[in-house]
Amino acid sequence: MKRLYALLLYLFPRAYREEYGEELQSVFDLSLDDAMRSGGLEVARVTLRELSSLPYAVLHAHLRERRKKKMIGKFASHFDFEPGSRNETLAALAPFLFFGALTTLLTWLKVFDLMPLWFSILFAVVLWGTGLTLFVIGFRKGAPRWFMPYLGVPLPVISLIAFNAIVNPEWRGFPFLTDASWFATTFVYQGILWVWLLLSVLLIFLFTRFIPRLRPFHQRLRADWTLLCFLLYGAMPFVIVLSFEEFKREEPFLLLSFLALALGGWLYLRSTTPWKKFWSLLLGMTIAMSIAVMGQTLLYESSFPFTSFPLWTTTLSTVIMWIWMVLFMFISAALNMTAQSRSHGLSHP
Amino acid sequence: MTSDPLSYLPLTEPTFYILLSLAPGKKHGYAIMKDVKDLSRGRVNLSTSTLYTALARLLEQELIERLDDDEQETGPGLPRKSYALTDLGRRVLEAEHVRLQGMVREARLRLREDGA
Repeated sequence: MKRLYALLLYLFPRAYREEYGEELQSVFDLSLDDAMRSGGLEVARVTLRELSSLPYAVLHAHLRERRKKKMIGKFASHFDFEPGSRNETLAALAPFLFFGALTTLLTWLKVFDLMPLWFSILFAVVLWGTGLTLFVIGFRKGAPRWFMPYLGVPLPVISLIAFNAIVNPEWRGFPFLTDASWFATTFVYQGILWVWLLLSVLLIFLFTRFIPRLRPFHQRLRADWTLLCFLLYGAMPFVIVLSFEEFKREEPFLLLSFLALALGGWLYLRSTTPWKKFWSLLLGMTIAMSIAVMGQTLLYESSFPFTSFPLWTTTLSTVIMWIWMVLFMFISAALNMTAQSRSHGLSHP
Repeated sequence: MTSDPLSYLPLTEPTFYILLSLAPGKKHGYAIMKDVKDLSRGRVNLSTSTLYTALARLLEQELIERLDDDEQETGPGLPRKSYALTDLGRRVLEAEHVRLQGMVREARLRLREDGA
């Protein structure tokens, strides 16, 4: 009887069989073993029950597979990546690898005239096209995990716009900073520049809660508190680029920084526990910023031969930038963890 | 999938019992099958294929999740997968409980009125 059932399982679609076949056989075997202990009549009853329900289950499984295939036929469903799969990793790391590292590499080749102009134009079109397509698909698919860095990419632009609106030529600065040290002044100004990243993350968290269509996304953010950190991590390429502002021949260091960010992202996607994920992002961020500081140190003299500002002001400014980013990461994590514990407290008084 | 528990109601009897069976904690397929029979006092006697049709649908609806078990935990011969309620699944079950309670309350009132 068990062998017959194993044969009958071939009536199910292959994908269904691969997913549930072993369990179906195992549960059937256990049911039959139990029935055998109760006598022949019970065996007959179980066999009849199993055989009579099989045609409906087989038909249902085929219809289900057909429905799935139809869905797969749609373009966007190609982006339903399994968590931890190679495709998910590639899509999630694209902002660091392709839009960051590869662009830097090609810009570098351009500096040495190793790449024709038409190729850089074509490359830029393909890159922007791909980036925009992935952004739209990720958004329409309800912001899956791989999409988080894409949401973070435009946030520094918002920060810069907001900063420029505050620190305009008419602005006289904070009176309490008039006699403050260089470190304190730089720390506050960097804070004003980057705090919009954190505010944007907070707004995303709140908006998704109150807009019904975005509620599932909000629930996922609450279920995995590291997602907001991964979103914030998407802002890092821009932060790194900004740390090399006005530097010359910075491409090798930019390239290495982007690769470090990709490494952090890769470790995040491979990690199984929330804290491991969190530390992966911090590690990627720290290595990338360290490379930036190293690059600044090595390139400073050749980039600014006539400057009166000492090197340490630039490198320390980058370190302050890192401190703010780390702080934002912790605040994003804490915000989500607090929300989680409060909701658990409410649902299980 | 919608996250509003009310949109999943009313539950069919087998679905209700499957979710109810998972309320105390995770179970593998055969344990669910036996528990459903016990809970329904023998009225809902699921076959293996019917059970897995229901489980596959509940997984798609994200009302339950499938977990990997190690053999030590399940014992030899038992399936190495188990099933557990998701947050949404629990909320759906609670919503169905409230709905059924309301129905029983109404029925009790009306029957009492008729009796009086």
